Amino acid sequence: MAEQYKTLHSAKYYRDYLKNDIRPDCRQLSAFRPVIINVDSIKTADGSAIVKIGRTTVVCGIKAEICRPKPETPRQGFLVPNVDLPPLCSSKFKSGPPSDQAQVLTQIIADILENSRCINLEQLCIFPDKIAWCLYADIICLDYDGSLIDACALALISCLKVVTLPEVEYDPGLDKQQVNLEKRSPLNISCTFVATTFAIFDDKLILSDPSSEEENLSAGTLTVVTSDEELCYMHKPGGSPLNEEQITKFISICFFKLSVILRNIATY
Amino acid sequence: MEVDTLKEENNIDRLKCDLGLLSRPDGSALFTEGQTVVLAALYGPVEVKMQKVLVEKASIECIYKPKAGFPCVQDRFKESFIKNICETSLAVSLYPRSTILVNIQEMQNHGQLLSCAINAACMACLDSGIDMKFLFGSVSCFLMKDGELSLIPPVNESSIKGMFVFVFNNTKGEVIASHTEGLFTAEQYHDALEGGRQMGVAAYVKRGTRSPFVCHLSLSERRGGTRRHDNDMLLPLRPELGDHPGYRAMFF
Repeated sequence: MAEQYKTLHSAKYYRDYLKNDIRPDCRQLSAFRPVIINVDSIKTADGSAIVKIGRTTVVCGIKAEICRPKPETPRQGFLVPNVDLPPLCSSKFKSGPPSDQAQVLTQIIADILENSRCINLEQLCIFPDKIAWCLYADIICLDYDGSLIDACALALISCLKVVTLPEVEYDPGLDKQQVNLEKRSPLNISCTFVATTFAIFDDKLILSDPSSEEENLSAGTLTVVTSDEELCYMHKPGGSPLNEEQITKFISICFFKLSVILRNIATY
Repeated sequence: MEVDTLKEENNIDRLKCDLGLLSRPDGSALFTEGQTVVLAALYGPVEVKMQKVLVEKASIECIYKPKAGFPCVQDRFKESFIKNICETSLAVSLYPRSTILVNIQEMQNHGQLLSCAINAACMACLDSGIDMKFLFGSVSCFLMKDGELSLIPPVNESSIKGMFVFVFNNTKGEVIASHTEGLFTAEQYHDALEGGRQMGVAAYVKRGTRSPFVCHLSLSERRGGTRRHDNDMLLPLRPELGDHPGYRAMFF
């Protein structure tokens, strides 16, 4: 019976639960889903991470290639994030060129990366104006169950922390390079960013870490990205209006989550 | 065509708006903030593509064209941002099985591109006479390296530490959308939010009391969804219209 009720009146089904301060998946309104991070599981990549937030699953792999730096930034390498939402992860996506949502997500992840300044691109330069590392961070969603920005950001930062690059010897006179695959060194990551998404249900109820169903039913989301002591992204694309008090509350929750995640990341 | 020029004493950039510039779209607006210029045009409600049809509401499509070159991933982001804001503010459930096309053309960029594009989109919606739940207005706020906040983009780009774009509704002045760049603290975010809101109100209130802009808005309100053709309707300054809904509409 509950099954039919859920399909026919999904909004009301949720409202009945939320009235009693509980969500259909037995979470409290402000509770997060369990987070699992697994790093370096893909041996063919220079660094990789698999992140699960509830059922949302995201894989991030970083491949390094040698390329020539841009003439305007001769001392910098590149870090190119790309988010892929294949039809495998949800029926919402079709195969073919990247969907609008995938492109928007790619831009958001690139913005977070740039805003947080967690990586100094100068460390990717091998020889100024000649050769530099170009890191391709491919983020692939395997299971779409909401809060995708959170999962992608977490996968990317976990992945960046385990990337190792081989040593390269470059002879500018001969324009020859020698890659020593045996000797690898990690990157210097100056901060850790953590994204937290909230959904606004019926203009007043706030659901932390929404599942995809909750995202669909709610009238807007807000994503806050915290990086150590500071904020680096406040993304609210339309939806229900919010006042200052609510925003303050969100920010404090996010700093709390950051501390929890940091403790977890520190263990590997 | 009316043009409103206003230079505030306390650091708000010059705002100008020109409505009904184009003849083919249902609504169009040229919005200028300082030296940033954006042209917006709105068609709708019009026939919907089969794959985009929504049975209970109108689907909104936003097309953003950069000044030069092909649209890239950054422009897709702007499109989705503006689309979401329009979805929130337009009365989409009144137009089921139809589509509303919002076209944004960047003309000149001097730092406040996103907020200018959002304001232009709002003005185009207003000009078309399409039903809206509320109006929205956007403010860009720049955070300098020395911790100061400014609503004018600084001449020297390297002195910027962060940038905030807020979108407020005109009913309660609440935040309907927010976008940020750079690193900042929670206090700075709040200061910018408060400052942005007050400056937004100041700019629109002042313009409301003595500019022809407001008369124009009132006319758009009264038009009730039909397209204006008669140029005589474009009245000169009419301060008595101050109490008209179109006037109040600009207080956000």
